Amino acid sequence: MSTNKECAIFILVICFFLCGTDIHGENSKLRMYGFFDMEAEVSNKDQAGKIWTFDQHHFNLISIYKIDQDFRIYSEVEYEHGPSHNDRDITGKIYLAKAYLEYRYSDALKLKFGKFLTPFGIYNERHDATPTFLTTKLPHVLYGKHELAPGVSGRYYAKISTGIQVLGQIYSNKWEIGYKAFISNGRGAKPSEVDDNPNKGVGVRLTLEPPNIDLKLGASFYSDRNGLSHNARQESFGTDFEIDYGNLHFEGEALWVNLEKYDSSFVLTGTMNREFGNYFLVAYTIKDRLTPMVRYEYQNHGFEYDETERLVLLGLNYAVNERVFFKNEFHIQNLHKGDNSRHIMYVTSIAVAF
Amino acid sequence: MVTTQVKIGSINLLISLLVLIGFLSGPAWGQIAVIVHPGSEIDDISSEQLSRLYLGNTTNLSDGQSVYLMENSQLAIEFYKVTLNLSVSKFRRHWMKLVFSGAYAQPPDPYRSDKKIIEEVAANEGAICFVDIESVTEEVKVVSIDGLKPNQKLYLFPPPKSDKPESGSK
Repeated sequence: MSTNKECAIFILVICFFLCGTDIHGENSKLRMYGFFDMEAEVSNKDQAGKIWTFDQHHFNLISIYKIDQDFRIYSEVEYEHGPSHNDRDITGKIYLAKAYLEYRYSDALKLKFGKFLTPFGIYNERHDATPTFLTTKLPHVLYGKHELAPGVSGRYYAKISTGIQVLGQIYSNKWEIGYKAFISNGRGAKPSEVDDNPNKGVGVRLTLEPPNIDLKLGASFYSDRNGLSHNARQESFGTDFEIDYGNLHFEGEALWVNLEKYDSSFVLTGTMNREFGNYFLVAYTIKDRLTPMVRYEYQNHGFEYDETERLVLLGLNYAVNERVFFKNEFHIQNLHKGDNSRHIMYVTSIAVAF
Repeated sequence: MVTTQVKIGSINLLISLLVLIGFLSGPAWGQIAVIVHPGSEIDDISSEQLSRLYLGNTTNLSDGQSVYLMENSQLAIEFYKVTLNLSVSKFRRHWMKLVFSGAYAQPPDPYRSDKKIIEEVAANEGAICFVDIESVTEEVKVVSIDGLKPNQKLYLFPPPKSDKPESGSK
């Protein structure tokens, strides 16, 4: 079936739900949300980077269908890079980012069945919802693509998982304690359809919010045998914090990664390459609208190879209104891979939530 | 000298006018009351629970009923400032994060009319909202907050400055 037909069917299904429901008030079964963004960037990294480039990056539609008080279906379809699939050209991407059934037994115990964003770090579950980010680009160390195997790049954990998740929130002595644990197919050629190996992807995320202070602490773990990297064992452990004090906002994350090595014949050796990275961000919001910020990132791509990367971001986020955000940022990147190279990138974007 | 006196006189006149406008305009809203369905078992809600509900940390009322959060757009600034210590824009951003990350809680539905709010709360068992105390009818139940009812001393939401003298709880 062509992608155009898939899109048409999706829109028809949405129209069907909308026709049959009142979309406001308690009786509404269906709620629709979404976001849109457009970016422009230029850098002095290479000749291609020196050309100003516009990117209609995301257009995502989220639908939440409440079956009853305890069951709901959550789905998100992403149209990335202004997709156009026709006889002449195939550009951009259209894919189902999330689709799961959620059952709520209580606030402390819920279950998700289906395809969901892996609960890892502060941002992964928000997916590409750029209106909720202060910056246009998320920290590369946690949310960027890295070389996991020759010719294979991706995040250090599965961005999206298909399986079962158990989650909940417990309130005790004024502390908010959240947990999420899941089992999935892990990464592979068709991760939402088939598991490439008998080892499942597993992960846990814990969050803690103490009373009387606007602080959130988190820890995440993910492990699988990556079907895209010759079934090498890959493990990631991350910690994070977010704290707000008046108009000041601090956040930071650290990540430790173990990537199983293999020899020139792609036979797994059982030994691990260890990588580490972290970032810190400080932002100050003026009159609820203007937020200047600084972010510092560091990454060591492998202690054995002494490959390090440092990135400083200077940015300004302007809230045009509650749903429209205009962002500007400079990325100053230092790479140390035998040669010490530095390049600067300027990124601007507009992000809208609806 | 004359010029200086004229300037001082103009400034005094301007100040007097501003003070007069302040007295005549009065408060933009009355005291806030939290309302629920008349059949609800809830008579009292803690400020902590109110905060957890409107932050999406819980999706149940204390009687176990699944909550339906509603927002009175006219009173949102005051309500979120007092209960959550958040501006409306920060409150919206908080919910944006929750919705896009897949939280089970649903953001409050905004309403502009007190009459419509009362109709909705009367029709939905898990509904909760906040309205001007003057617009409350018998169709809904006003709950006390931390054991205190509107117009009582130390009630969570202070009365407007030019409100009537204290006359007991409503």
